Amino acid sequence: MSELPAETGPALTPDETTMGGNGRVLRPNQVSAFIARQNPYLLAALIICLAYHATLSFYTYTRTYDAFVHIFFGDHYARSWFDPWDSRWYTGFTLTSYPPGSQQTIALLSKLVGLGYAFVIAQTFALLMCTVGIYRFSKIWVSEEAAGYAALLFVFSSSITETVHVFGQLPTTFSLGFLLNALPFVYRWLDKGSWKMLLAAWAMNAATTAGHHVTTLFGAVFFVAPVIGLAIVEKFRTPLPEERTQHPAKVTRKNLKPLLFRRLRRIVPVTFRAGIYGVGMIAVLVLVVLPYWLWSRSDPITQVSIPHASRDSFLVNTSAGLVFWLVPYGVTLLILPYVVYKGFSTKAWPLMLSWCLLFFLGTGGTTPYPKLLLGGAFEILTLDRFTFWATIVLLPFAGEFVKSMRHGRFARYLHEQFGQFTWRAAQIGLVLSYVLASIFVANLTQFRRFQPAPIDINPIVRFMEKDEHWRWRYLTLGFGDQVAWLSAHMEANMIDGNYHSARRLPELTTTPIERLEGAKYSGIPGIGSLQQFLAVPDKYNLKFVFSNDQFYDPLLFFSGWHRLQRLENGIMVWEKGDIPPLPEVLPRKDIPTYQKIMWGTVPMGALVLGMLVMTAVFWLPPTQKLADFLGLAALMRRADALRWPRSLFGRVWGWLDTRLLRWSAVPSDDHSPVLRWQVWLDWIQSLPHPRPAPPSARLVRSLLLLLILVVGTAVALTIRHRQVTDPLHLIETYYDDLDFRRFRLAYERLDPLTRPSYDQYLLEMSVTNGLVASYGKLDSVVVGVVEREPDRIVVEAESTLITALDYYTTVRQHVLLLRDGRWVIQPDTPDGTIPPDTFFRKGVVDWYAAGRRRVTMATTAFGDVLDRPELQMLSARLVWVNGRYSVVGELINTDNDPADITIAAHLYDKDGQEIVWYNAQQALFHKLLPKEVTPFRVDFEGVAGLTLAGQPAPIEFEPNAFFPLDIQNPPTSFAVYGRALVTTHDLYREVAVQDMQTRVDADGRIHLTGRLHNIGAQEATIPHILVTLYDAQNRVLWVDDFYQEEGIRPQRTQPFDLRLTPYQDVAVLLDNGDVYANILQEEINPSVNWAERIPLPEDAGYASLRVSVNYFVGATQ
Amino acid sequence: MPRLVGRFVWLALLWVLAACHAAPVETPFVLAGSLPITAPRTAVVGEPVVVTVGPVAAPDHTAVTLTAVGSYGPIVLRSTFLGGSAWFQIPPELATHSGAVTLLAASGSARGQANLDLRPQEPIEPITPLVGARSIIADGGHYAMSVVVPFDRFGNPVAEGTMVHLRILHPGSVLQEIESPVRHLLAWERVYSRTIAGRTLISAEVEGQHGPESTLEEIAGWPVPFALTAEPATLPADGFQLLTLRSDVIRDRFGNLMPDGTEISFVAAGPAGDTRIIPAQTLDGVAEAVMQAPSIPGVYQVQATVLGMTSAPLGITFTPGPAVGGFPVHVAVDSAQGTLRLTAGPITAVLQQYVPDGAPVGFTITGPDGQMWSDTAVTAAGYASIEMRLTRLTSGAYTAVAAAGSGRGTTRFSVP
Repeated sequence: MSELPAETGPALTPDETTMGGNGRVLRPNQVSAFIARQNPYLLAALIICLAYHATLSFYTYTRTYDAFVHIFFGDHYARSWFDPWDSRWYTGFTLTSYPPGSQQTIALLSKLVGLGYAFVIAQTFALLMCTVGIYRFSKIWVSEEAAGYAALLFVFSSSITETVHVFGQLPTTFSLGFLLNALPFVYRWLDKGSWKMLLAAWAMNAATTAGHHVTTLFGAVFFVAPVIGLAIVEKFRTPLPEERTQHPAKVTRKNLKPLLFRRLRRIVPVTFRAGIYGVGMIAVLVLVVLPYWLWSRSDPITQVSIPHASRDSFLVNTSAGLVFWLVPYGVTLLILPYVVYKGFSTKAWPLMLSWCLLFFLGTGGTTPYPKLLLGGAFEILTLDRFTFWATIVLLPFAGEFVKSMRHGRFARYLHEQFGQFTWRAAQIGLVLSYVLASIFVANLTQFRRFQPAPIDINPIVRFMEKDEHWRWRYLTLGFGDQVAWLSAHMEANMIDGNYHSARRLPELTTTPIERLEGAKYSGIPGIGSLQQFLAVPDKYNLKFVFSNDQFYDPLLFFSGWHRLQRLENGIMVWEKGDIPPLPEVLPRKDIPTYQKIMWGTVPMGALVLGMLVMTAVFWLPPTQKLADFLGLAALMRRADALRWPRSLFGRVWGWLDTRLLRWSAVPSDDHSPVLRWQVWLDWIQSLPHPRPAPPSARLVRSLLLLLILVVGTAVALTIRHRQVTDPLHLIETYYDDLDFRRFRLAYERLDPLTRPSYDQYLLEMSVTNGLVASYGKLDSVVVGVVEREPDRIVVEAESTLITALDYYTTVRQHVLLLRDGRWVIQPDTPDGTIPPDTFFRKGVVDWYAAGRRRVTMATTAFGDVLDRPELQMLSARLVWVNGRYSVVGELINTDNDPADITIAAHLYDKDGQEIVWYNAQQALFHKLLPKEVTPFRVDFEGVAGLTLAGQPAPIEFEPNAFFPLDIQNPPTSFAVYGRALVTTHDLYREVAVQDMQTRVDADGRIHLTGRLHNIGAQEATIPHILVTLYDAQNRVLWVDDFYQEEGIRPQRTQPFDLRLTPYQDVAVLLDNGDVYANILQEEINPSVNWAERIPLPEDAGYASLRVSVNYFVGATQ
Repeated sequence: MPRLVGRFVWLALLWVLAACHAAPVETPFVLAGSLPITAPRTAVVGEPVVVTVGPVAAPDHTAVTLTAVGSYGPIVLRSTFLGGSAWFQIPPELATHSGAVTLLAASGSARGQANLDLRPQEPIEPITPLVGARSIIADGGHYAMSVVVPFDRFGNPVAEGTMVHLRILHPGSVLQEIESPVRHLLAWERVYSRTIAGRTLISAEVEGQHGPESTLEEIAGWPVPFALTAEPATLPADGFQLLTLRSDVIRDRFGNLMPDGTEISFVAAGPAGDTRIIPAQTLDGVAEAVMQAPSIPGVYQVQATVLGMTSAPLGITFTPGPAVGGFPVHVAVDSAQGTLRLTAGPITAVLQQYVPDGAPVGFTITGPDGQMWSDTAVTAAGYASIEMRLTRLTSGAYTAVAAAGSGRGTTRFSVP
């Protein structure tokens, strides 16, 4: 078989750089010469990498997704290197759940430069390793010049820029650098059988595993396998010296056997070496992170998979397609045809096959096939890593493209067919686009924030240190990934965390949310999970919530939390009273000492070993000189000269080789010519080659090319313009502008003839407050045409907003008018009502818990702890409504002081065993005035983890999932506990109910209408209506609760229209239970008729109802 | 080599034989029997206690130990007999915890035992009275518990029977003094409320030692019936204006004011079967709330209630409003925009002033074929208007009626 031309199949040599070429060891005085001999593009790439990525990283790492997680892990190792247990996240987790190499590196560096800079240095180191690795890896497949270009392309790759400066992934780059540098050693071992190369390859694999085991695992398939394939194919095609030279043209029965044995004899050694390497690599993969494998075996991950956009269809979720496909490939998409052609037409086709597989898997859920191929792993893996690896595998071919574009066939083609100007313009255009794309991606987080604005964590750290607040757990909301940065600076524990694989609480593992604080991005299931923690915080010793997102304020407030203070950094501290502190000794899941020692030494040892291999060129010469000086070198040479007795294996192989050689002898009468097997190459070469075009034709072609570009751009702009000016799109955009508070843009979409001034518009917007307007996030908007005239359209917009409490759907009609060829929105008629009084005064009672001590840093004194307010439980029942168990009842604060109430209900089976307990959450006034009555409803929700057993993993994501109680025996008794602390918070009762009327609908539902009237001096931002429904004995049968979507300004009214739960839906299971409150002697007779109880008609089923209102005040806090 | 091994074997045997030879040892004296202990039956903590063990027939320098097992664990002291007796002094710093101490002496197999009662020293300041519950109803029946635990300077509770003098100053300057002995380490007494609400101060004194006061709130009990007033007594039913509902001073049966912040509900029953619930809190015993005039004239019966205790009803009459009499309705057609605008106004109230902005005005339009449309607008500066699309109106004569409370306006117009 003839050698391919250099353009299509260059004669390539494996890397020899590190060892100074041909495995020679360099002398110190040769080092400078060695550097001078290096590829200039590689040196340039290293310098640019250092200048570009290192500098950028200082500014970008704080806005990335993952950087803080690795910093947190690094902080852990800096605090306790050999103890992998960390109780700061979740209820404690072990760090053996993630390979520690990169994070231990951060820990070591942090002792010198602090955690943040340590991360940057580690990342820069990883990128430099990758740059060298790309060069060395590329040299296996393409020419040295192309490999140099590949290194340069790597530095400005949009994929690597996104991975580093947007995603903040460190282990990926850290381990990739070692993997890429391992491959030349693998190749040399396979090719030459040098044991030194094998050991070096294993050492580099060990370092790769220490950084990230997944890279080793998948790298074996996508990086190592092509190298092995290449080595085998090359050996397959290369005759051995002893072989006879006959090459029969046809395979006949006569020569079949010799031909087979000939090929077999060629590849047996390399296959055997591949096997040895493979076994060693697996051993390395297991041993370096053995505690990780033991952990994953003993504590397998069984949790609902976190939805990841890389698994979406990129045609449907175009944003995901942009982030996980278009951006990583970037400008290289333009050269894909060349890459595929080059890949399949050279010896690099094994790598091309690998790229095809990676490309295919990286398309996520765009087609169903990746899921079919990956099976259950599809739901666990983030598929963007395949695209990332695909862009890495692509680089050698891209380097070859650059070479061809500069002075190869492609350059010649462009030059001949389009002229020099077009050729130069294309070169400059491509280079500029490539570099600008990288710069754009690096600054993507500036254009569109993926993280909240940076938070000064110091006030939070001080708060947790004050008054022993660290004795309770905390939770953050709206911090993004900065939660890990905060955790790294405290010893206090939080219930949440930023490493979801380590979660173990069923409440977390059974929900599709990555973090509780990202609950709103997962819709109602996410909110539901957060609710579980906020409803029963005493179960988790959760006392403080640091909120950076007012979206959660309603949920916190109506779950009984109150605002404690706003810190200097603007973070609101929410507190829940009556939470027990953490026990002195927290439970932990320990691992054997040998595993702790392994975890602290082996991965770091592997990294050191890898670095020794990488830097052998620098330390080996002086070491050898020293050995020479000591006479050890001569001793080693003597040892090398020893003739080792031929092993059994050697004897067996010699015997086999002799026979294979004998069997591979082709009959001497067969002298057919060589038959090319890559027949498509012949076909390609037989295609007519274009002749050089004359100058006029070049000009015309260049102009045509330019015209195509201009027309294409114009068409794209026109399509975009039509989309923007579409009336339905106008409404959608208007809602989007309002959702993202782009009021100026929203204002500009209003009719310029009738709209108010911008200031007036803002003013009118500002007085519209409430749950939906201020605490809602637009989930969807569906617009339909109701009425159409040539210059006037009436549309109906159905918008769905998600709030922390529920979804809210509103339907509004808008009138669109055609003004000067452009559709505009007719502004809404503003609220024309005015308040009755010009000036309003009202006496209020206020409370303040001052204590009776001087200012001190000491903890709260016993003498300042107020008595628990006295509570009396008026009634309690266990009912079954709409498939759920609930305990309903009524409670009064008989005390003189306001009370912060906690009500917990427990269900017991016939054996007296507790089935479940839960707290009253939203259907309750958590803060009670003296002598005030509140109804309560405790809705029992199953601990979701109970329903996990027996389900296949991974568990499917199920929107709006409800986890019912897993009860084997029905409850036969229940108990209700009421307790309280004195409070001074959130005692708002200034909303009256007026014009209240009831009627019973045909379906038996009670319709309650009326108006709420704010008689106070501050806005009721989110009114909350509780309706208590009684039987004839004035005992509570059911409690309904409703939120009003809009706030009520002082002296304003707002109508309400409520449909209550039908009497038929309420099944009383237990009429009486054990009720516990702290009053010694009951003061109130609950059966007495109260004037507030409104009698209901007989057909209602209920005897009477009582309406009470509390509300959340948002703006002034 | 075998010879060398043989020599080692012989040396080893010689060493073993030498080790078997033991020198004669003098038998030590071992004391047996009982050990008499001389110690005080009682002592005061913080002072040295001298204990004598003996006399016994023991040679001088025979070792003896004394173990004092007290409330907080044992203390071991060592000495030797001299002249048949051994002397121990339990140092003051090891005798700071009061209580029974068992003294155990041991020498050889001889044993002795005695008991020592370490008594606390005199109480020291501060003498802190603890009170719970900290608020009780001032009805003479409810009580709180006051507890005092006096300590000596070592933190020991003082001796049983030590008298604690409690001084309790009730509201109304009623001083109550109670002597209470320390029993089981503490002194406690019930503090019954009187019938006057206010703050009660409690102090404690023990043997001339003093401490800080504690406080106890005596609060009003359940209220007795009370009356309501309204200001103004009547309003037009304009759905707009406010009147103030006010309770009498709400007191309990002893005349104590209801505490500030007590939740009161005003419940108003309207003529159309509608109900209002208006929350209020007491301030200086008075609950005050505002009530907005309804849109329907009639008499509202108002009561205030707290925990089932209901005030006497108060009737409030709301006269017709907001608009009274007739008002004009104008029609304007804008062919260019294709609209027809109906404007009602000026709409005036009882003093011929504009009705309040935002007052609802209902428009009803009846078409030539009897078809009806309804729409509502709110007033602004005495006028309210609605707009209709001409394309939705067929040709013919129309009647438009505008209504605002008791006021009415009518007009007729034609659509070509």
